[in-house]
Amino acid sequence: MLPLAVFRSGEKTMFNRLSSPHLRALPVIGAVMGLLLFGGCAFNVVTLHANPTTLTPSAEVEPRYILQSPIRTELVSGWATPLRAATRWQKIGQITEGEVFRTKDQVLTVEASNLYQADIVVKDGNIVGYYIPTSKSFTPCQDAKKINLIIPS
Amino acid sequence: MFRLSNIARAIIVGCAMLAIQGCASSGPRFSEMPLAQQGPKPDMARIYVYRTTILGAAVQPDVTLNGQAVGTAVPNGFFYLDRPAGEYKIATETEVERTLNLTLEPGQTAYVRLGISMGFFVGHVYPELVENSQGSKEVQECHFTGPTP
Repeated sequence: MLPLAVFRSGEKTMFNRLSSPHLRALPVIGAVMGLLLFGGCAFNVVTLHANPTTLTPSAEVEPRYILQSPIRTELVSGWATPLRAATRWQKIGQITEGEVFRTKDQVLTVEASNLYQADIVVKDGNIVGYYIPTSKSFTPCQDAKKINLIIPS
Repeated sequence: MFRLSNIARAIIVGCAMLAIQGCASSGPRFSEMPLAQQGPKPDMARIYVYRTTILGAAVQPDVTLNGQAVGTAVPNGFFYLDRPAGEYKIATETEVERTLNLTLEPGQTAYVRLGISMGFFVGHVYPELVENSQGSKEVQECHFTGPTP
């Protein structure tokens, strides 16, 4: 507010302006504003929290399950595609964190700054996280969520 | 007040049109390419990479597949790649690198859309995996930018 008033004043010289206590604070204000601006414009780098794991593939052809209701999960870091109802899922193997199921009925990715195709990990009837085949790692959900997979009759 | 003459306006509009056209792709449309519409061989997988938006048209980074340049992110352009089943990383880089990591199975077709988001100096082009139903529609109006697989 004050600096603008000074700029409008015809009597003030450049020297006077720089010697004004308010204007001498301008570089500091500018630096703080700059830092805030740069912070806001950072590249939004979010790293997916994922731990290495080993998939033991299923030895036999597993039955297909159908997801009864849609599920939206929250990851410890990053985001996951919501699971759609009526999609078909097949167990492809086991990791220490649970059973790994894959679908061909929808695109499933987990995303931070980069995107990863993923499979769901189910333990005791709950979805507990996602298995990332390309990095052979597991990224956990914030909270396990009940998942309703049934074998069609 | 500064006013532009009619000639100056015409020149500016003409230059803008040329610039926009220069940024967009000009190859045959997807619908005009029977080869592009055929699926992959049974033992191969196909990836369509396309960009629909002309937002940030001047930003056209290379697209790499497992570190090798395979095309360019041209607005309204597409190209396709036939590759053996396996794990792949598709990446684009402007100020930062954005990647999509996916696994392909034999006979599978995947659609990868190149979106654009705000950057500090330059927009960021990012690859995203889209549903086949959506990708197959969106790629229809795109122009082929090669290379032929």
